[in-house]
Amino acid sequence: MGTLTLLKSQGLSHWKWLLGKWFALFLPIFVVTAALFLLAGLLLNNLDDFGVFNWGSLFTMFLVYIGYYMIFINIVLLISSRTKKSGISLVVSLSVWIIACLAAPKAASNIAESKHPYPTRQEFAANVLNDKKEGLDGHNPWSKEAKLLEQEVLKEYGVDSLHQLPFNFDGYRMQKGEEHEAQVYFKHYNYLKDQYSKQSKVYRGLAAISPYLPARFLSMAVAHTDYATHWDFADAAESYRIATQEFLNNNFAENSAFGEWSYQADADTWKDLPVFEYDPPELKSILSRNSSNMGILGIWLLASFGLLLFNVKTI
Amino acid sequence: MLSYNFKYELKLLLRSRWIQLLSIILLLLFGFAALNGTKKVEKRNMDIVAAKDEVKEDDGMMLKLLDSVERGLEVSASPWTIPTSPMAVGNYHPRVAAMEPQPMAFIATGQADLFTHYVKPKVSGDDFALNFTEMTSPVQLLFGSFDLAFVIIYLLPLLIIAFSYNVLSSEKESGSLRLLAAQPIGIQNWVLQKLGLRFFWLSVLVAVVLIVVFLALGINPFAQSVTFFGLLGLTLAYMLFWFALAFLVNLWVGSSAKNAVALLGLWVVFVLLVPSVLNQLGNTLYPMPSRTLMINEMRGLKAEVTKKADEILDNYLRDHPEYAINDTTQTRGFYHRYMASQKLIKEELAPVVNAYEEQLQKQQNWIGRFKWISPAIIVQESLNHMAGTSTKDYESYRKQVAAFAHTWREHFMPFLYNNREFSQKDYPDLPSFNYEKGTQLQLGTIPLLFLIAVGLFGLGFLISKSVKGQGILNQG
Repeated sequence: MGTLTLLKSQGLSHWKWLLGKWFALFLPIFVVTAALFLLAGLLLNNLDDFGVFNWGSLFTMFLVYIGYYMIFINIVLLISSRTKKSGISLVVSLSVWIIACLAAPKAASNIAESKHPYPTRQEFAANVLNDKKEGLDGHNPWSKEAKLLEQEVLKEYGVDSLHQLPFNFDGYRMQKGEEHEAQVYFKHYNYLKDQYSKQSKVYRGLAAISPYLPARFLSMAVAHTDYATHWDFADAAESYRIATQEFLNNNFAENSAFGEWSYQADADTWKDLPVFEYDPPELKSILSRNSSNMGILGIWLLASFGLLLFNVKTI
Repeated sequence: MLSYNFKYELKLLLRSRWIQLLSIILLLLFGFAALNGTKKVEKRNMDIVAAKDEVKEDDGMMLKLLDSVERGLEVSASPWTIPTSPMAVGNYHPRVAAMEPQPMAFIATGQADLFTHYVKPKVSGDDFALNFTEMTSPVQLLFGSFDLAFVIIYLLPLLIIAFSYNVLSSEKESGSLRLLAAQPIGIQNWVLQKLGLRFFWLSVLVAVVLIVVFLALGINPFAQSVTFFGLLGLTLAYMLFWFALAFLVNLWVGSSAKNAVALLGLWVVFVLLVPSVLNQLGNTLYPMPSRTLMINEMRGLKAEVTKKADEILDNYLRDHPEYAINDTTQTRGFYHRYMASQKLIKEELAPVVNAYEEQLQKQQNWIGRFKWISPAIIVQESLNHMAGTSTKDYESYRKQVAAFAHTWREHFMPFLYNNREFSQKDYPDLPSFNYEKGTQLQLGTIPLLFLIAVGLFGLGFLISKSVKGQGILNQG
């Protein structure tokens, strides 16, 4: 309604006007967000069975969201100062929101998938099976690889029959087969990880049009609900599996005679069974792993501030 | 008055470049979405074809091997994989049970990114061990796919809102409303005509863009005319619903900014809030049973059954005297016991598996009961049906595969228990899988949506007439 001209006639500088508008938008959002985060922190901290709660993580997440909101405040102010009618300003702001938060993530997901597709479940299973076949099957003493291993071991120990070995060869062969399989799984899961890290690059590229993407990835990472944390856990579980198999096979190899398939370990054996221990990644390592996301969010923050300041001179 | 309105609205829309802008936006959105969809369908088709080719190649090798064995030649394969054994055929030469995409599969991803489109059931193993989940990065699932359904359900209403939020208020704000009020037409009628014309032009644009996009992607929309016109009708009905809301908001709410906020609020409620709240409530009310627990139970049962394998086999043969009589050699191997116990395991585990299906059904019913709260849910469901990617379609596929797995297993039972060898002449009799679309195209929702929209228009008329005394001119 032309109040801006009126304000200007009072000798109000652009800077002060901008600062006032910016804080008028930011302060209520900041207060509400801070109050909600504080409330959430107090609640979660006092839940007995909540699990891992960390004020540092909550504060980091708070910072991420505050940064994210600042970016949107900057964009909205920028649009508002450039348009003549409030209605149009609203529609343009809305379009920015649709593009950044609804369309871009979906488009990113489509592009990432068509560029770096995952294998189908059946392909994946078939590839694993093929690679397994290439090597030693610990449960098949008649295969070529098993015979080869037999010759090798006999030669190494300088004996001419498996019975003369100081350990049960069946257990030894099973362990070797296990090691081969573990390698196969490692290779194929690594391929998935590889595809995913390539997909991540697509997401990072499209973050140029959407601050939503880095904010989302960061908050998932801090909350331990992102893909990287899942892999971290899956890797720990896999190495636990490998350790358990090794323990069982070695126990069988060391304590039983060749051909003694009815061997049973005594009760004390199980005390030595490796225990699964898992520590979720620390906040520090999460942040360093997500430095690129933080960087992109930082660039958005700086760039949107910069544009706003640059723009305010020309109102 | 209508013809004047028609003429000048069109002029206005063209001058303000709305029509041009909308055509470009629609073309881009529909084009990108349909392209994404067709890419996905292409990949799905290619995966299935590759799997079938592999089986074909594999079958060739199997027949050669059978030929060699039948002619008494020595073969180099591992003894348990030689296809004279029926169990070797059933395990190492499974058929592809594929769910081929429907012709309109590209319009809605639905659950296509969750489930695999082919499995190969074997004689050993269980139906519930058949894994139907697809390998996708969870980030992909989180963001979803930019498909036509997304454009129609999420973005089209926003375009309509941007297109119609200030039909009345802008006239009010620029002061031309008083001028209009001097014309011999009621305000409601005039808003209705204005919105009607916009609806008409947007419909024309959407129809043209759809046809253009379809043709550009090499899909003939008229080859699937029922589905195509279903899609068009559904889209138009959904659009009309949003125009009806815009009509109400234009009549009741005041300034342009307030109108826009009100319409956006409605958009958030209908498109974002209601579907996700219903979904969340469905999950909370009818939680899925734990898969880990089911697997544990299955393992316990298997261990128990393995101990009693001999007894089970005896019982099985008692139930199937035809096998006991025909058997002359009386040799009983691993597979005789195994297959008999598999049957038992399947029967015992049926309640656990059914519990899962029941919960799923309950969730579906829950959403089915409340879906009329939001047209977005109805449209999403209908589009998924048209695309053949709805929950029901995948459920039907799973059932068909389970039935086929049963057929496949049963096909080899006479061979196994009669100790008959599999030979080349048995090859053509192997059962094969043919997916049949399990759901019928339901177009009944389209007239219902139209009715809802028309009802909203009527409501607007009635109520705005009753508050006429107050006068639209004096508002805001």
